[in-house]
Amino acid sequence: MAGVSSKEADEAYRRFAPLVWRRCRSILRSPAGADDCVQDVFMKLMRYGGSYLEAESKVAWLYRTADNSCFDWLRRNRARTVAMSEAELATLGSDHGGAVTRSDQRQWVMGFLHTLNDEMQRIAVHYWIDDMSQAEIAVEIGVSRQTVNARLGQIEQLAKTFSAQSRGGAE
Amino acid sequence: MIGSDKHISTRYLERALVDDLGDAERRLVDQHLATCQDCLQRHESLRFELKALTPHVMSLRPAAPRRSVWAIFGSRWLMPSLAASAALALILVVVHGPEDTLRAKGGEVAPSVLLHRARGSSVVALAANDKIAVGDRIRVSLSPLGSEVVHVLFRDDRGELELFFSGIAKDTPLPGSLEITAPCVPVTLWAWRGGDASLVEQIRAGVPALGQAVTRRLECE
Repeated sequence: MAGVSSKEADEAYRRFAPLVWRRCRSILRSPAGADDCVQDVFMKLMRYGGSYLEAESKVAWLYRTADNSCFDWLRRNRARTVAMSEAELATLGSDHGGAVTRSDQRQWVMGFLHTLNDEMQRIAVHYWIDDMSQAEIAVEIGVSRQTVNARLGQIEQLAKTFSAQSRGGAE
Repeated sequence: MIGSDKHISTRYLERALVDDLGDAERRLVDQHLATCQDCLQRHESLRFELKALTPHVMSLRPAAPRRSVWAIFGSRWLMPSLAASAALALILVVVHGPEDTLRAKGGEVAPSVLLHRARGSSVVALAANDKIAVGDRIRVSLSPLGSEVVHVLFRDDRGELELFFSGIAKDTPLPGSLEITAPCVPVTLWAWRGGDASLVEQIRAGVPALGQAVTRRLECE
C-alpha cells in the first residue's frame, strides 16, 4: 500500500499533529503515550497513507489511525493503566460540593478503555471524546443507532464492574 | 454535527479549526457560532490550547519519543471564550498557603487555587507542607470562577512541563488529575489568569513568572 510523500507528510504534520496529539492524550491520559502515538500515526501516513489523500475528511482519517494506535498502546501498557474508581469519582464530586461532571465521567470511562473490545472502544471514544451523537456514531462505525445505545449501556455497566473490581483488588 | 444538546460536537469544532470541513458544513458551523456563545467559547479555547501545544508537538518530529515522569489524568478540556481572550491582562501576585489566591493588581480577589490529594481511598485538601508520593493524584480546584481564561501548568524539577488546563474553568475541580508516577520528582504548579500564552514558554524555559502567576511547590515525601 502506497504512502504519501515527505512534503505531503510535512504539511499534514504541521496542520494536524497538535490536534492528533491532543486526542491521543485524551484517550491515553498520558503525555508520553501521546508522544509515541503521534509519531506512529505519521509514520503510518508516510508508509501506508495513500487513501489519506482521497479522504473527504483528513481529520477523520488521522483520528481513525490515531485511535488504532492508542488502543494498541493501551494493550501494551495495560499494567500501567490506573482507573479512577466509581467511589473516588463520587468522592471527588461530593468533596467539592458539586455533582460529578461529564468531564469526570469521561476520565472515568477512559480509565478502563483497555478492558473493552474494539467496537466498544470506538463507541466510547466517539461518545466521550468527540461528543458525537448516537446517530453520528452509528454512521461512523457502520452499526445501527440502537446498537450504539445498547453498547453505551453495556459500557456503563462494565465501568461499574471494573471499578468495583479495581477497588476490591486495591484493598 | 449538532448534538442532542443543541451544540456543535467537539469533532466538528476541531475540524473547523484546521479547515477540514466542506463548504456546506463550514456554513453550518459558522452560522451556529454566530449565535451560540457556549460553542464560540469552546471554539476559542480549543484554538488557544492547540496553539499552546504546538511547540511541543513540533518538537516531536523527528526527535525521539519523550518520557514524562508523570501522567496527566485526563485531558484538559477547555471551556474557552472569545470574550475571555479579550480580558486577559490581569496582573497577579503570588500568595503562598494551602489556598493560594490569584489576586488582581487592583485588589480584586480572583479565583483561588485549592489542591486535593487522592491517595488510595482517601481524599484530603493539601496543606502548605503536605508532600506527594508515587501513586498520588492531585486534583486542582479554582473558585470562585468567573468568565476569564485561566491557565494551570505543572513543571517538575527535571524540566518536564505539562499544560494541565487552559481556558474558561466552568467546572471545579478542574477535569482530570495529576498522577505522580515513579520516580517521584518535586513539582511546581503555575496558575495565572489571562491569555498570555507566552508564559508557557517562559515556564518551559525555566524563567520564573513571579508576579504574574500563582505558584505552588509540591515536594516528595
